[in-house]
Amino acid sequence: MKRAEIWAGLTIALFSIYTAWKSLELPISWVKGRGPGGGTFPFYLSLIMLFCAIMIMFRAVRGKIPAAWVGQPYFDRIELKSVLLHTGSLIVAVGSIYIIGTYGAIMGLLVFHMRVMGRGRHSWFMTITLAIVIPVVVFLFFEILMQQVMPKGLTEPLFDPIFGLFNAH
Amino acid sequence: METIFPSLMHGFVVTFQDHNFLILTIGCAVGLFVGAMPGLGSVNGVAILLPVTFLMTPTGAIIFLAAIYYGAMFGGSISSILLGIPGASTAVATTFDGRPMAVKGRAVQALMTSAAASFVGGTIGVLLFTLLAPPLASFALRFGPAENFALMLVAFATFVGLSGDDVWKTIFSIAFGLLASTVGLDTISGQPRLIFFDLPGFYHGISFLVLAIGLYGIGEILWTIQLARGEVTMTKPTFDKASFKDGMKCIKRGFLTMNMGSFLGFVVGILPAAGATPGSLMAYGIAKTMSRHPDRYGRGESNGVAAPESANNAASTGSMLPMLTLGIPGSPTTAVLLGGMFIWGLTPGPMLFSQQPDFVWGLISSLYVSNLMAAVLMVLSIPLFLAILRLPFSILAPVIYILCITGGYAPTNTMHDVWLMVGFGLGGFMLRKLDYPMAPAALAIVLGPLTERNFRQALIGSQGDPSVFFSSTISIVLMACTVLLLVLPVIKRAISGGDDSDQPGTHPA
Repeated sequence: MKRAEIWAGLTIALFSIYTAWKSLELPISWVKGRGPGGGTFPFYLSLIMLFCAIMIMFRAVRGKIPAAWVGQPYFDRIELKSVLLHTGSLIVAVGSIYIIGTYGAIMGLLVFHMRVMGRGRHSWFMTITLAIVIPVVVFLFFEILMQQVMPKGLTEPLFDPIFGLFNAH
Repeated sequence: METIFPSLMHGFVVTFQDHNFLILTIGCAVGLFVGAMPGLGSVNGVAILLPVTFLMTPTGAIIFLAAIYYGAMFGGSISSILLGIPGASTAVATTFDGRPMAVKGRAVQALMTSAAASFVGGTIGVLLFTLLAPPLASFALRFGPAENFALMLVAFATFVGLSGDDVWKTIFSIAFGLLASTVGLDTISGQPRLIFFDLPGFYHGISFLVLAIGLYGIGEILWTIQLARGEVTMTKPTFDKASFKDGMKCIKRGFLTMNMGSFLGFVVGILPAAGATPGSLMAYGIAKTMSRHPDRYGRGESNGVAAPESANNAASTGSMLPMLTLGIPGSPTTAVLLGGMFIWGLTPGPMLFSQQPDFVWGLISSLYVSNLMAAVLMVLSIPLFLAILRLPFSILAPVIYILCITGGYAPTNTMHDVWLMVGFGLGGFMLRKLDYPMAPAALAIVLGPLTERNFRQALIGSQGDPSVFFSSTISIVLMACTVLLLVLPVIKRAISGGDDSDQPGTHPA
């Protein structure tokens, strides 16, 4: 945990330096007639973040961490496996929205979690039923009731007749 | 006072005549549902249903929209408590303790506390609205940029002043939230800034909801699975006599907190451009600071639900005050309501009270009735909401991800924000494992634009003279509060003998 604390501090420090450098694209001093330049606020916030990161690392190096952290890993194998499976499924689902659209991605996400993460607790009948019902409910609520258009990827033409049906009424 | 009472009674007659009561009930139910959906808040419900009101009388229309507004304020807490995803920005602070309560099997108590706090907040808000409308409207106008900036500093200082949190991590969290709020176009010069890797998605800035849904939706699921080491056992809460009695105890215990939240929320709500979100976050911070057990906050403390819920409902009432009396909207939702008033042919201002008594008093009395109706509907719906918590985790987790994706996409309609939300979820989870507090970042991204704008406007107005921040009694008092809150951790550390270590792995969100 101590090493993770130092690494996190280092990452924050590097990010702060990057944002401070990026803030310099706009003036950080007084601009005549306009007051403080547009870069002032983000620049000084970046410096505050950098100072905090240095203090966090300094404290960690000096061993000022909670006693229960000593000798503990940041992740053990079981934790890492479940976190990676969840994060991976989410990233794949979001990435697949560009191709199979929101509703296809939702179906895939449900099937993966119910069949793979659920370790056979849900029957195929239950899985397929929910994989159809939930996207339909999401579609009806967001697209028809709230008129919120969701991305559909390559499946866009498939929705034209459905919208035609609702528009006709 | 002698004119208020008969006017209010007349308002009640208006609320119950024709179809107005039916319209109010439907509005509350719709608002409750819309508020509970992540990514959709009262502003979406009011904006989408505004065209429907063109078929109604102006009084019926404002009653309908105000009922949606109130219903959404109640409903915002539902998904915050049950799923850990804030239903609306106003309900983010409810997530901090509402979700841990649900995880511990106390969802009924959390929902009951939320309904009661919302009711108390709404009632106090409407009472203050009824009695103090004109003087409070002029008081709010005394808040210039310097006073507003000082108020924002108080809000940040409440988080720094909380005991238990690592001060450097808290300050980092605030600075990060503020920095995230500066991404996009500079509001004063109009120039783009912090456009990372030249990605066009950053031009519209980072939406507060994207950060909040990422941290509290995705981050919460990852937190749950790592705590349970992949084998999540769901709690099976039931709405029985014991949980009802315990819920009543939580309400009784939180009564003072609810009152504090209500008054604070109302005052913040009447400030133009502040609104219910800053009000609820400030109330949470103050409740934690004033508590005898601040360490319980973030781990399932019922007062952590009572404070923000009472504040956001009182603030939503308060934000209607400058709209009606001055024509200045106090929140995005009241901005839409204001637009509606112009369409209905009404001109907001002090004359509205004398020229349109049916409209004004019908609205005020409908707020009383909507408040009660929304509380009743919410309590009656608790068994329905609990069914969500009984879902197996292998169904609940993807459903939460789906709500996060749709909620992250809805505000700006870009996939950029969905990716950003996933990034915040993952990054927030990694930092939470190291005890970085998340709540200050959520507060800071909301208050960031207001803080920066007021800071720069105050300095422009004073030609760069920083003494402008100490030029009025209001700002001096607020600055003194800020200093006091900032030195609080130092005093607490001195009293406790220098031990500032925190319990690891159980850090509040």
